[in-house]
Amino acid sequence: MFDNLPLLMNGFALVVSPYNILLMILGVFLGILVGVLPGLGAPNGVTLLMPLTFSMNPVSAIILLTSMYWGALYGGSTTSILFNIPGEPSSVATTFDGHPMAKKGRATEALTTAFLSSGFGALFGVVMVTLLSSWATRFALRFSPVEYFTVFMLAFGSFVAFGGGSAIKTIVSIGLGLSWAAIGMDTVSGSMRLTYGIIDLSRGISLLVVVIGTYGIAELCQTMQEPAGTVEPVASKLSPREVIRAALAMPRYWVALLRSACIGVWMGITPGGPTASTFMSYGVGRRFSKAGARFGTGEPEGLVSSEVSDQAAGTTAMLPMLALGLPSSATAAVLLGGLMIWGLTPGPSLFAERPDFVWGLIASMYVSNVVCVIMVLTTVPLFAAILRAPFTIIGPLIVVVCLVGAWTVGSAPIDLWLMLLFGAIGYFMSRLRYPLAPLVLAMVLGDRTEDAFRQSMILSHGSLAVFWANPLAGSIITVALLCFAVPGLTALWRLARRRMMN
Amino acid sequence: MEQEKRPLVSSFAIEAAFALAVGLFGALIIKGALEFNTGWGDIGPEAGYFPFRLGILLILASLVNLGWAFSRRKKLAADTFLTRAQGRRVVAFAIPVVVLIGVTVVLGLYVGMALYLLFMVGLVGRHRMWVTLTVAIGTPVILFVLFEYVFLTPLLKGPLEHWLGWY
Repeated sequence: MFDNLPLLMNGFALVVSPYNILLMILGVFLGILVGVLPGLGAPNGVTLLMPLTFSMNPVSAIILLTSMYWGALYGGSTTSILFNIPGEPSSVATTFDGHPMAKKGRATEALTTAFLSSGFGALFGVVMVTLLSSWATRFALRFSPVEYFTVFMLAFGSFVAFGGGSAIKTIVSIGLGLSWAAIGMDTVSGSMRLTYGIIDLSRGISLLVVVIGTYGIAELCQTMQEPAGTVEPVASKLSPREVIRAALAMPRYWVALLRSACIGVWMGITPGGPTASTFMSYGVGRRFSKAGARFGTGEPEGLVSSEVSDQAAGTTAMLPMLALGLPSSATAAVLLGGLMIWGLTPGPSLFAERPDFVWGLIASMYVSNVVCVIMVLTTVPLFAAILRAPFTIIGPLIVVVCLVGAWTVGSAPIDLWLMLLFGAIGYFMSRLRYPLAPLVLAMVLGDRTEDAFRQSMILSHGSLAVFWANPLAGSIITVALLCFAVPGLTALWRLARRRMMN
Repeated sequence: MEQEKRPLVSSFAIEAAFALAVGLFGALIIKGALEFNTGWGDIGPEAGYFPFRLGILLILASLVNLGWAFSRRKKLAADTFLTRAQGRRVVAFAIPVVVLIGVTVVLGLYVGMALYLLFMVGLVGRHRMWVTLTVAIGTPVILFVLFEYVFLTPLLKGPLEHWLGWY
């Protein structure tokens, strides 16, 4: 378990250079900015920055982009607490107790508690990543296309079972993502599929353009839909004395801290993702904690519960992403897309062939989260001021940024129109509660799911029994199929019980 | 206030329309897949195998969604998806973006964004002249320096830049 220590130290040596620290600070700053601004969440922010990293060395590139991810997670909590606007889907649970606290004049306490909880969650998560990475790579080495296919199905299945909302809508999202991914060249036969004679489509549809449309343009549309000036701000000045007092109170919540961190780590490693993790942690806290009855009225422990697990899940999501190429959050999916563009293949071989990259990333997670906590505490007044700037200026500027981002993806005019199209689709999808994260995941995994399936079928000469041929694949695919069946079964159960009651 | 609450379109209409659109898209995918072998070849499933089944999945799922929408028709029809005021705001946001992209493809990104910002900040946002000009001229200039010289990632240029000798 501790044989990774020298590798981690090498990673630190690589990361702690002025250039990389500077990138980290820049990344965190931009991350907080996109986390705070509506229409620019973490997936979209990382996407917009991605094309600029194509020419960078991969270690610096991933440091910049992951720092942005962490920054966005922290920034998302700021707006949740001060303005009751979750900057990220995963900080929705933060508004439950964070905003009531701020309204009662305890904004400083709420912000400090949230940031330190996030920091704790991240640290706990990255320690787990460090300890579990050898095990994860050994586990992943046993994977053939058969196991990969089963794991991909598990990832989709867990969205259907635990994503909340309508299961059938989740399936539509997955289906749309998979079919958009299939457009362009077929990776096995090399033939052009689903292009309908449109030459521009032969490159395929870029995940980055889809994310800019569905997360950026669509979210702006939703913001624009409401009359301007609905933001109800509370005082956002931080007094250092209150910060220290809130920090000293943290150890009191040690049970909540540990409980939520464990839930977060579990949901980050298994493909549950940060958003599901915050709701689960909040729910568990409300049911089992002594303070549970006060949850939702401005109870710090509720805030701790959601924040710790959010960051712990976001951090540990890096492990399955690196070891299996399996992202468990939308942003991790975008990062995975970047990994492939930089010419790196995720999987156990990445740990063997590019230890500098893997351990550089893990070491940077330790450092950048410290940078995050410091920066986010010192910049709260600045970002609160940005959010008060008139949206008639901020909104159009975000549109311009999205447009520039969509252009830099492939320097093709069609990408601009596609961004608009996906913006419209994304607007209707989120208004009708079709979840977007499974769509992004399906787009990233689309080609690999199909390849894994086709390779498995070649191995087995067309027999589906191959997925139950060994205990590992068999148990994963069984759990995955159960996940798909869960919503149907619960619906039947409810129906049966209603009949019984009558 | 009355104006703010007057419904434009109900949730039922949009739910049903979106489900139909998904179904049509599924049919389109099937049509594309049928250009290839959708069954088995010498090396396992062929190029059309996966898309064909995805298309079927999308059609089936959209049928379920459609059925669900119809089964709750009363409740969903009473639920407003967009009020007239909201619809107007969404359209007022979306049309300039469409025009922006159309103009950008012809005149380039820098000129396109300057005109767009001029319109949105000055005419729609009704900000003062100097604020409008600072945003509308400053943004393309800053982005120009950043992308052409710092990031070395050229953005789309149009006739103006060509005339000035930038390519």
